[in-house]
Amino acid sequence: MRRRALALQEDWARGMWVVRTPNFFSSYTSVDDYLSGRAVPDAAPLTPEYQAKAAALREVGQKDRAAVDTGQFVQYLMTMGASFNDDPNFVPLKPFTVVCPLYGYSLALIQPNPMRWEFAPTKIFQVWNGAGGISRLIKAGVSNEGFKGKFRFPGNTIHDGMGWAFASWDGEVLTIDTNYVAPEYEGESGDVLEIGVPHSDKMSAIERWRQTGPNTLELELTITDPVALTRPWTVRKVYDRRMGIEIVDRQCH
Amino acid sequence: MYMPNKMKRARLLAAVMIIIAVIATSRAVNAQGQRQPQNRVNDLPSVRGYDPGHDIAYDPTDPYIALEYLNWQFEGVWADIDSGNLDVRKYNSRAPQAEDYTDPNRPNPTPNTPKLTPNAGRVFREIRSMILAGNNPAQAVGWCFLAHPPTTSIWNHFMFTPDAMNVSIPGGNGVLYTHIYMDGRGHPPNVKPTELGHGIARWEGEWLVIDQVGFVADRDLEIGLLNSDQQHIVTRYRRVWPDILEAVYTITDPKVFTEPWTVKRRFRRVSMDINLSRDPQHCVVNANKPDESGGGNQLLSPEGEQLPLVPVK
Repeated sequence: MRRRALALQEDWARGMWVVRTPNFFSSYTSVDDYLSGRAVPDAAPLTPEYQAKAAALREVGQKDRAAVDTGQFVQYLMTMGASFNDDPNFVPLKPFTVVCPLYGYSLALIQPNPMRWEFAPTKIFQVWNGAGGISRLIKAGVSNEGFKGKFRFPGNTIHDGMGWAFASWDGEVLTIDTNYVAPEYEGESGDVLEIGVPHSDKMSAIERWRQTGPNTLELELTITDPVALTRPWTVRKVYDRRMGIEIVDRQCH
Repeated sequence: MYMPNKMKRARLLAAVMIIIAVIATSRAVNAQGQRQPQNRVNDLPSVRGYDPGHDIAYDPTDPYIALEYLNWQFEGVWADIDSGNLDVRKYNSRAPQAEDYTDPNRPNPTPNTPKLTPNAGRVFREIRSMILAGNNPAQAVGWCFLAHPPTTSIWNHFMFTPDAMNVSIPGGNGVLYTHIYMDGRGHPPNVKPTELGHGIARWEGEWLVIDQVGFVADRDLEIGLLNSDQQHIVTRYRRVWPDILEAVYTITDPKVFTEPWTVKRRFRRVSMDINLSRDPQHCVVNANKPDESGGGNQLLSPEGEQLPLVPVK
């Protein structure tokens, strides 16, 4: 058990993992499908307050897709300009725009970008490719006698878009406990459970990752939010391994 | 022989003290012998939050245990203690505001200043004049835009795997992340320039040597001192104390420097926590949005004051 991290580093850390049917845990097939306004039977069990918020968000999204689809989120950046390479006339400030998909938890888990694992005995990196390039550091138990049951979120923990997480092993299952997830940052549409489904700062989640085949992982995610959800919401997603994809630097922040 | 009682008591006391000292010394030696070798003492973190919940094993002959031990040695968050300047002799200076590297007649020049090429000097002077005028274009690059080590090595998380290392640099609402190969490979012949470059690393005794090339141009080494796409950085890390990390950077850039520039920076392990205080203010709320009326940035200073607008040329 102690050496599980090394085994996963040799297996799960090879290649990158792509989720099937991104952006939604429920049965919406695309953002357009969600924006069409149809109801799905496996939608998040939102409280009346958050049902109203979700309805309002969808209404805004139908007018401005970037309000719900972080893949369309545009940021305005400035750079010094190309002073050494392709522009002999140095321009100290040169504005440009870039699409910055900033995914928060738990939407980040099902973003369309490939995901990479890195395992070490004491921690796990989970990195997503693409311009948004969001990543998270997970404290990982070296054994069942390690962090499990001993690590605690400090009382002064600050909420973050990806939350804070620690992991442990339950047999063949990698369990990740996430908490302190920021419900939103100004101007960002990605800090949601899935596209169009907001959550509160009381949200927490338990992920159970399991290898179901040589090149497939299954995630069982149970989200709890006493403010936004009427009951824990348990969903499943499948990830396929893709080889030959290199991490691309993030262009956003 | 007659001996006064007082003297007898003194001799007895001295003998008892000697016996106690011998026993204490013997126990100390035994304890020393039972401990790990001396170079293992102070290997591990001593900061708040260090509580692995189990004993940290040390066995250099076991690859997994050695890897776990190495990760513990570098565990936690390392913060720059040299004020963000590359040269420790420039504590709290505000280079380049404080100093024009291109002026040979400037007073009190910092030792070990970079030797700039004419073109790099021209760019440096232009940016410096903007900074001195209160319009800091480096805000757009140094704070909220991507830059690569050494500039963004202010916060580090190190993670070692059997054949690589991963370094993350937490920032606003996310982290920078770079994967550095330690499997003996070299740099590919045609590296596509990226923000964090292509990195390979190796151990040279106690030194962790990271070699990086393939950076995009126009990111700042120091505020206002930009790199080119020819930049080559060799960083040598060494733990000089349990919670102090020393970094020696040797920066080669034929478009910017006439000779390699070697500088140092130190880092202190400040926490074992993962809940770094990320600052969404600079990089999310103030996402470098151009001011529609003035055309400049809308950045705030660290104190929250609106910075002067910078006209867009």
